[in-house]
Amino acid sequence: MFTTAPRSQMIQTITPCDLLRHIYGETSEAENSAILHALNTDWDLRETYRSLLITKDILSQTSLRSPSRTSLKVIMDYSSQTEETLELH
Amino acid sequence: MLTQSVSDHQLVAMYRNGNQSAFAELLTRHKDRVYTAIFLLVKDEILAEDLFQDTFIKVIENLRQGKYSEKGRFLPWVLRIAHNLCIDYFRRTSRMPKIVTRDGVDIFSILQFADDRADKTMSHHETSIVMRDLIAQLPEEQREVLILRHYADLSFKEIATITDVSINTALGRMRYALLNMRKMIAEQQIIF
Repeated sequence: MFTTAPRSQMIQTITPCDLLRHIYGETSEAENSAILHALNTDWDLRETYRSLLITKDILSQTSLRSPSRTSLKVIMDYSSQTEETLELH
Repeated sequence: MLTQSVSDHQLVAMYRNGNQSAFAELLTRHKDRVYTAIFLLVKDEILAEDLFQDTFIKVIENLRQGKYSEKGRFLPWVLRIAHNLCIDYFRRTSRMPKIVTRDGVDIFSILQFADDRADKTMSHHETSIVMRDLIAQLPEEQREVLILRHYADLSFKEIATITDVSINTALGRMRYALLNMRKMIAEQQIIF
């Protein structure tokens, strides 16, 4: 259903979920502009944004882990074996 | 030698034509994200190794059988397989993930911090340990989305597909996951 709200009002309807998509780089250029505008005018939204961003940064301090070499060898061996089996057929 | 300039789709095509190096490159490229996602989901190192192996064995079988669709990205497809295997495991054993306290520095001995200086490594380890403990305390649905978005680098749309929920539900769960993480950090007076 179409909304009758003025364009400027629609642009500023930014939700915390929009901020979340923004901090993970999933928003479009147009959405980015709307979000930046909203952040400049809405203190609550800016605090929410800051909080999400800080938590994301803290999470980023946790490194990825690597599987064991044994696991990698098992997988590569399986890959080689199945190829040989296919060739035999 | 295969470089990063070769796309995943190209590597898949090369592997289907019998190029083992192409598969080795795919494995090298994605192993850490897949393994970390599995480990954070099951919170058990040995089980994570088993499920990681099972995941890529299934990947090999599906690639051989031509079941991989080139419409999507390779990593989300692999993570969907990993996710399903984790869920199957929990259903089979009736074991839902439990909150497990950290079991010491040994767990992190295999971490590679090639670029870190030694004096930085300890604080990095400590941060990782604390964060993993906090992530483990999140409700299951929130933990799942957080792991898949933050560590596996899937989009919210891809997560929604994998976990069979709407994108708004995935976003809502992620929002509460971050809010809860922030709350736990504040409650425990953790300073990063």
